[in-house]
Amino acid sequence: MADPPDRATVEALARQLVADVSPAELPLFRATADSYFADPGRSLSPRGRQDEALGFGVEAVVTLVGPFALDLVRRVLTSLTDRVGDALAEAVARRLGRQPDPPPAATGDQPGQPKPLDPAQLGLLRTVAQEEARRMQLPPERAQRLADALVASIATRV
Amino acid sequence: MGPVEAVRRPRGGTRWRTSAPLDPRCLPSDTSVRFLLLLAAVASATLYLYTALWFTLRGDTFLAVFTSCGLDVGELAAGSASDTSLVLDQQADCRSGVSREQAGFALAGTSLVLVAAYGSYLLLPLWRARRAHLVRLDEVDGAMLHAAVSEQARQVGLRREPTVLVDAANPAVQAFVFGTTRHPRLGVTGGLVVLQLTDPPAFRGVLRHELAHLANRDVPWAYYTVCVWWSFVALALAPVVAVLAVADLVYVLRLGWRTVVLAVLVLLLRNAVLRAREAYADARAAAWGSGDDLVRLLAQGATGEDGPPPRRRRVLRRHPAPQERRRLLRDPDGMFRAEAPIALAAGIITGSSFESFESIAVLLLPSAVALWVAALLVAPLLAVVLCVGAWRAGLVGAVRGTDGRVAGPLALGAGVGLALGPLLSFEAAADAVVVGPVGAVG
Repeated sequence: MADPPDRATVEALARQLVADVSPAELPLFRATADSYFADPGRSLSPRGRQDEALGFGVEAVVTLVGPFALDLVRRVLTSLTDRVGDALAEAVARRLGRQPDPPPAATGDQPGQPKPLDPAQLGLLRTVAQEEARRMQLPPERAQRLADALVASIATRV
Repeated sequence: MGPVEAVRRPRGGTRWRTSAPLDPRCLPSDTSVRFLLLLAAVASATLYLYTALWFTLRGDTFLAVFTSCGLDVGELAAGSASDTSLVLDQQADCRSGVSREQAGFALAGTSLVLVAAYGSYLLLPLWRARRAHLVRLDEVDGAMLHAAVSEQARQVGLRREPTVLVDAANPAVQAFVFGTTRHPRLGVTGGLVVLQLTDPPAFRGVLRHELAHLANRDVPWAYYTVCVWWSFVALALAPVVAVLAVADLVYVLRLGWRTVVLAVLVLLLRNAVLRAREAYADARAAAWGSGDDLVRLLAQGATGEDGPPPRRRRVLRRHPAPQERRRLLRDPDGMFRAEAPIALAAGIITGSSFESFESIAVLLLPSAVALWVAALLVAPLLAVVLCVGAWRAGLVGAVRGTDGRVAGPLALGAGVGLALGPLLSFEAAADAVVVGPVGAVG
């Protein structure tokens, strides 16, 4: 199994996703990321933590995208980097991590700059994003929307 | 101010009435009355439990002393009344050492419960911030939230603005105030922060409700209420339950049901304090102009019909049901009604604690004086409960032009409570003491 994805990369991609899907959460993003990386399970509880005795006392809940965006990005990056030997997956993972492409073997030139994802890479990213989104504790429709938003966010970013 | 109209009395004369809403804060609040009752209930129940514990641990010694100082029945029968009194006094003197030990143990236990509750109350803000994973947003991220809290605190005239902390990943729409009077803190969840942009009036309503707790100065009471319950459970109830678990069945039956009743009484009073403070915070937030927003937000969290929840569930709740809060926001007159259950609790506590206090006071003072001291210690509480209840219910009756007959439910509750209270004292269970915890004594 490959190394876990870099936290800075996960945060950067997830922040973009939150900015696109739920900009009202942006002020919370840094604190949400700290909370998520400290205890992912707690951050992904869909009902949240109520305090019946001393809190405001209403069981209303809003859907926070932030923790799920972080989780989806981390899952997607992990899934891509786990596909050892899959050149396409490795290329997509490099792009998402903003790592330069390796120099062509024959020329021995300096590494190139990241290029936009091509249609095949975007297709793979979409497939992986949808697979991982389905595994999260989100309603299918919402999971689908989040996966689509991630792909769209990355397609316009890279 | 609503219109004031004259109403003719059936037997002549005129009375005035108005439909203008009453501000529930115009008279002493139920929260303070219930809090006093809770403290008295905890003190009374702990005295009972620690007395039971002492007899369990030292029952043999007590019985030995009691026997060695025993009455000579023949001498008593032959003597005059003054002789009898003299003999009884001599007997009391003879066993005063062990009686003082028993009273000291009970008083020390009660002090322990109350002091431990205060200690945990001081530590609670730290624990609460840690448990809820609260963090302070930096100046950039928290600019809008901090500005909103500052503005609202200024608008409502709070002297001390709370420090704002956030549980960012929590989607619940929640907020709570905690901390001390000097250093108040406001915890908000991520769900509420999002509401600031998506539903500003609802956000403002929740914020004002929480600031109302600070304005009502009920935060220390609420947290001490929670702490004193857990302190009571851990330091008074648990040891006695442990002892009862291995005790003789007769002993368990004599002490056990009283223990259960006292524990339930303390629990229900704890819930009553916490419910009352929420209703008063809602009332203040409504007075600040957020009543409709709170009603709308409470409707989102409500289930079932719009009427009051079943009474059984209501008394078990630590927080008033959303339906009840909406009802009180629309019609604050409900906060003035005479509460027979509170009068009943006051009567029970007065009756049971009088017996306990008297039994301790008689060890230190002449019996006639001890009786008065015990009465003066417990009677004011009952007087306060009845007077405040009658005052509040009488006021609403007067301004609405109804009869305002409030004495009946209060008097009935207090009377029944006073009759039942002594049954819950340790003295009423004294036979069990002589039997002993494992049936070996006596």
